[in-house]
Amino acid sequence: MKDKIRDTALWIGMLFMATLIGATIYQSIVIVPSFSRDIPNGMIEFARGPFQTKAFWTSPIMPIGFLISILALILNWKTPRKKWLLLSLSLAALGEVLTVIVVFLQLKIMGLLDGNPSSDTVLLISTIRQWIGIDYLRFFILGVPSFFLYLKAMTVRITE
Amino acid sequence: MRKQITTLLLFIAVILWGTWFGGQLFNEALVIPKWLSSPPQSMLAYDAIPVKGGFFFFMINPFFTLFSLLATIFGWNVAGKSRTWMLLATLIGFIVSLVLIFYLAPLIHVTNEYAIQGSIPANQIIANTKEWMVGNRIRLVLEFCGFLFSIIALQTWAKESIYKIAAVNANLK
Repeated sequence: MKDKIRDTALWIGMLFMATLIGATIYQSIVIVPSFSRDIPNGMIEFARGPFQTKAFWTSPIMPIGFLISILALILNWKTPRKKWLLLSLSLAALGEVLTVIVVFLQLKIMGLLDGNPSSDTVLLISTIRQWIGIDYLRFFILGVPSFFLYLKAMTVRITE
Repeated sequence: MRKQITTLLLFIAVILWGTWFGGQLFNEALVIPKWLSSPPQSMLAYDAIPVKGGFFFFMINPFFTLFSLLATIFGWNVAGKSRTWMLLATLIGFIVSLVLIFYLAPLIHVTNEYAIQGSIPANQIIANTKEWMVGNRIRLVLEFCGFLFSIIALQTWAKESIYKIAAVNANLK
């Protein structure tokens, strides 16, 4: 029974991680080019348009998924999976901190939170460029390694 | 060697299933509600926006099925219980691909063209989009199962490996 709960928490955490990776790739390939082709006009148009990316990123799925991943870490604390999960979730937590401290402010300036991009064009242009860079860095330096480490944790052999 | 290849294939399959499912979920939560909020007008409005998701879907779609299939083939003689999960993930991959190629993609493509051209009545376009939305949600549920099965296959496979190693060690003693 304990094994099943531990595995289920791990699977749900994996679902959350993969959803995050897939959604970020989708966003990078489909959404970002729609406003990066013409900065800042493309962003102004996009922010006032029908697609509100915050609807996905601020949905309850995100914190719930992250909490279940932490639960998976707690349940696997005395197993060899611990170090991989700890590393994976540390990177994911770093990503969350970066999002809260830096990215939210950028999203606000870009108008992705309330549909009103900043009227200061210089600030808007630099913020859009910074955000694109930070989003890629967050994905490749934190997101992808975190995902692979989690995947590694899933294949770690447990002998009891 | 065969075991290592199977493990690698299972890894890649899980990554592809996950990427695909995450992207689909994002599409379902964000793009579709706006795109099909009030057809055909919302479809025309969407067509004017340079936001297109086709390439993303086209890029990954055949590969998660392919890697699940390859993992099943490579691990067939070595795998125990994990074989069932590999087979299920592959089967769902096939079903999803076939449904997409022969039903969902043509349906929405034709409906979108009709909406742009205005060549069929609006109520027919609304009926088509409703049919497509239901089909797409069923596909999403199937994909969730396929993704979950690929995760279970990977983990079951990893567990089986340790039992086999333990058995070999016991025999050596």
